[in-house]
Amino acid sequence: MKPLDELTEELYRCIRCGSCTAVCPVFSVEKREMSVARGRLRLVREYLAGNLELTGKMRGYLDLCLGCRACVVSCPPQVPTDKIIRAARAHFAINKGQPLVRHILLQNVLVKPKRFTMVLDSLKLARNTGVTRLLPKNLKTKENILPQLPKRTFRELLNGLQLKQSDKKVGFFLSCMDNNVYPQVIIAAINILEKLGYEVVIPTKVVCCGAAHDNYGDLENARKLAWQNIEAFSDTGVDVILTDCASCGSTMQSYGELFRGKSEEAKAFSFVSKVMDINQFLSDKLPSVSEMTQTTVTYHDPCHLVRYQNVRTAPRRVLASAGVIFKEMAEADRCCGGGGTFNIFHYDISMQILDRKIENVKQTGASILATSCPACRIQLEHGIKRHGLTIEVLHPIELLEKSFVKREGNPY
Amino acid sequence: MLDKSFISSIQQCVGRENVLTDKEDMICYSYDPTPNHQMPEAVVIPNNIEEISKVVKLANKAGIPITPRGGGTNICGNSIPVKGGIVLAMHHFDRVIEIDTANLCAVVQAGVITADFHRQVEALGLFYPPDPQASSMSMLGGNVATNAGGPRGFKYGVTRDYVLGFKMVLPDGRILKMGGKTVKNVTGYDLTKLFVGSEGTLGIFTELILRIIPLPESKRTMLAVFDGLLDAARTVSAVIAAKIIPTTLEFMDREAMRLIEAYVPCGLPVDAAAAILIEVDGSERDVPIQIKQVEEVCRQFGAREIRIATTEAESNQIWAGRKAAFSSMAKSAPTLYVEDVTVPRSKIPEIVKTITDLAAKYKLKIPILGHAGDGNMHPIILTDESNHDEIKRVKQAIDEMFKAALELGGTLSGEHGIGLDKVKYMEWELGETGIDVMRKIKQALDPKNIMNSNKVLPPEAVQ
Repeated sequence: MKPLDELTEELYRCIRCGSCTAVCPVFSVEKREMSVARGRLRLVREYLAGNLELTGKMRGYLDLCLGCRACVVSCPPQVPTDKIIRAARAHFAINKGQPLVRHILLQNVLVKPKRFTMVLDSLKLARNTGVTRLLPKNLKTKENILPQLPKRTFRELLNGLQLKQSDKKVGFFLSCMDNNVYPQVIIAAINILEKLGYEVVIPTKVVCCGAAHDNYGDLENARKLAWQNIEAFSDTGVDVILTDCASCGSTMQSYGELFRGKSEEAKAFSFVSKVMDINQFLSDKLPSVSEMTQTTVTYHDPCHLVRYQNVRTAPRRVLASAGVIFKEMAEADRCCGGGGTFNIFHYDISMQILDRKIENVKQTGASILATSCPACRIQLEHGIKRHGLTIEVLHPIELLEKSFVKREGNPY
Repeated sequence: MLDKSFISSIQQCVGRENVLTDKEDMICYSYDPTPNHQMPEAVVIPNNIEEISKVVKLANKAGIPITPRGGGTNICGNSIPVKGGIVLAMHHFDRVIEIDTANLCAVVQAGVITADFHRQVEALGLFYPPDPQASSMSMLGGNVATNAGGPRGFKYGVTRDYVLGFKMVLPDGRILKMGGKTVKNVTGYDLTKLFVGSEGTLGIFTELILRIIPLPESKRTMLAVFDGLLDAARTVSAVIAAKIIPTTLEFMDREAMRLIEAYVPCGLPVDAAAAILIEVDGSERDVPIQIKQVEEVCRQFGAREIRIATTEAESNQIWAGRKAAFSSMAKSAPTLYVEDVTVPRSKIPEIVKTITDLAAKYKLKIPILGHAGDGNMHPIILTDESNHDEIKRVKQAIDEMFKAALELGGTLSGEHGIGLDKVKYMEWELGETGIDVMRKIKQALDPKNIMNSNKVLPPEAVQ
């Protein structure tokens, strides 16, 4: 990953045409030049030219980016605004440290899977005992974003699972979110892969992919985590490492950049070449389906899948194989406003972006909303609750698994 | 410097949260798509016309300059607060108030995004033709203030032809209402036409009454390829002489096609001298006849190849190149000077030759696009603002280009406006008398010269 001062040339390519103002979800709510790519790029430019200090206000504006990459895609000179913003955040982190809450999150909570689970366990306990009801209103609203948590994480369930063996092996990366919040998605993935004759290799030594660290410029921890994950897969002998989380997928695909120019570079790039989204892996291995269910499904494209990994048709193919009635929503690839922790730190803006998404979902009349990222799913479920709707949010592979069951009885 | 008491009185007008003064914020309102820049001292984001009126009155009293800002997408330096003072940003005026299908007009606030308006009227089977390049991010108020054009201008006219009336705040803070929902209106001087295209120097538009028309049933697209520039230009004239008025007659020269092909390969003939993208629209019955007629004319005048789209996908394929033109150029150089010299249609070959010669003389890359139907050329100078020597040559080339356009009976600007960048050429086109009349109008309405100062008219003319 290039440091900020090496991105000057790219930075100066911004011609301030304003194309970003037409697509930026944050700008659509904030409607101020500081909340869109050309403004943020200008702030960085003035800083590098020595006309502006690293101020808290500037940092705030840089943080107010979802990293959805909509501006990059529509930018006539294709300025890599997402990279420049991440580099600027890293520059802030080096020179000014991280704000306290973020520091605790990055340095203490997210570095070990057990700690993240512990935090969520405390939340479960607090919810069960009614303590969360005592929270002040603004915290209560934010706490509400997280859905009801499952009794057991996937890691806890894993011991009881009899994984099938086969000559055809695929690696599977355990995302923290799916492990803790949606273990059923991982179970669905295993069931489908095994049905297709694969042995699913799930190293438990993996840790957080480092998405938040990368995003907020904590490159030191991002590298540490990346390396642990690369090592965790190093003796598994798999050629493919699958993930059901769009954010983990795109983060792991950036490991090469993270180690560019370092001794680990080659190994990191070799790891990157194996990482693949599960929709993409499955899309050309599924039978076409004649039997249709009466369920109408729509799909939300996670930014980290559609614009970071360029995976657009694969999840739709998976849905087609699940035999559902598919109805495309307007602006399917527009960000839901989740942005990892953006919805917690910028709740009001995030909700306005989400409202537009939910409105588009509603227009389709779908009873199921599919998406391929647990972070989007948390946000979308919150939006559906907020709007008093009863739409269920699922990963495409959960629908696929259901259709397998329906067609052949329970094969597992 | 704006003093504290002035700022606090402005805050009282529009609310504290809508007045910005921090340096970070000023940086973000210091630019537009031109290389010009200047930080304002305050950014004010008003919510309604009364607030604007109050702010302008206060500013007028204190002699503080005001620069109105819409989408900030103009390409002549219009949004730059050259004299500091206040930038007045129109983002809160984003409501389509009414689409009146009985009277075929719409009442909109000035901050509505042009493309959003297009979508809304087209959903009702109606049509608002002006389509400037920046329509997905420009504001209707800005379009009116700059009298924006676009590719459909030849058949359907420009923004001016669709403004029936408006509300605006004058430089002294008074509110002016002009026109209404009637197409006919000859009550008094035609001030609507005076204010449309005044580039924010005579006041701030807040509400517009725009004419809309029925959406044509059908359209067809074709691409005609030529080995000679002269053939291409003659074809344009011949099409029009045959009494066919295409919606679009988009000209691309070889240099432009090469850049586009390098950026997104879409099958443009990079060895040809020029290509013209032609689109006709109308009723289901007329369109096939029109396209046939155009095809015949093109053949007669030496088109080496003609591609007529038979499906929407083919039409999109033809448009893909033209639509990627700006991006391909932006990708190939850090700084663009997008000009819009306009000449009588018959003079297109001469102006294209002049521009090509200037590019060679000053060692510059100048691909040319253009709305050929109305002689509106877009030479785009690809350069780098950090290369001072080259910028000097760019400026010399622009000087000569404008001189040539005027000699051919053309104009400095067909659709972008004068802003900051073309002020120094105004007298070439208007002469002393023309400048004097404009100055008198400006002085009558804005004696303190606070409203978008230094734009359109040379500063010394207004002092």
